Amino acid sequence: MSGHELIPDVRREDELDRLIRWALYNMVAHARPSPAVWHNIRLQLSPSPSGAVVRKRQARSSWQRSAHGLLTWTTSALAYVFDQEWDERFAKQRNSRRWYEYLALVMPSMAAITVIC
Amino acid sequence: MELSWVTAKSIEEDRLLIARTRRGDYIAFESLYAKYKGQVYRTALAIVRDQGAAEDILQDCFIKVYTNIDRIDSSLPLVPWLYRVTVNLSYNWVTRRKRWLTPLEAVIDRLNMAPRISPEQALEENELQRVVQEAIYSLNFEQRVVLILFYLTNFSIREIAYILDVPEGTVKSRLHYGREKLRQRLLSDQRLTPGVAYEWS
Repeated sequence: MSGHELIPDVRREDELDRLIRWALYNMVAHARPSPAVWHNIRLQLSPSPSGAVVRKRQARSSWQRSAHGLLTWTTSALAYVFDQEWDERFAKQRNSRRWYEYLALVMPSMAAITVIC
Repeated sequence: MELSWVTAKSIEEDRLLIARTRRGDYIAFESLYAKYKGQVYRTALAIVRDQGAAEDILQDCFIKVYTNIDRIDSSLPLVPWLYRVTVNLSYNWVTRRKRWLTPLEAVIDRLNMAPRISPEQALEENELQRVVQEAIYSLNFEQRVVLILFYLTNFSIREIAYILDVPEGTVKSRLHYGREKLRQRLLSDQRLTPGVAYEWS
């Protein structure tokens, strides 16, 4: 395939065309990239220590973002309940509701949200 | 844009590899790399004439493929996109290098300047090849790229225009003036015998 016929002023292939083609071909014909290139590409695209990959991640849908927020809220709530364990005021309320009852309330929803995320 | 040398089978193969890469299949990405690494590397090498830089360009080109995989239109051939990225990366390398290294390179070139050799020696293939390659490398970036895409990769004027995103007339003009500059430079090169120069004068 050649595009020569598309250039009126280049006409048919002449000696100069052949010379350019020959010189370029000989310059790169036997050139091969080293295997290190692929190795470097893999290194650069592998996940970083923080877990972030170089590749842009697909945008998360709104329900995924909501689920993530809900998980954060639930975790905070759970932490708050455990904190109350050492709180004197909470100790007074123990007779009416014990800490593991709070945990039982929170755990199923937290597990479900973790699966969704 | 139809590319005469890109078969429907190849486009379909690329489409599947791109789809698999999008799903995180690294083997598919490696297959894409294996398929096109030679073309990208040799084109970059012809433009920048530096093996290390050509490898860097190849590396950056495929990192771009991976990071932009979601935006690549897999219904179109991948090849023009790859060549466009290769040319752009080569341009960045050449302009960076020119900014920092031109004075040093000029000194080295003067120090390495070969002494005049006899007409018999000038006929040797290696010398002729070197002279032509130097002449090609002396062209400005735009003319050199068009010559390389035209003569080395055998793209048509229309295909080069598509890859470089310029009008066909611009490609024709760069090719024409690039050839003319080469002809003049080769004719005036003292290392070539009049007989050899006459053949393309």
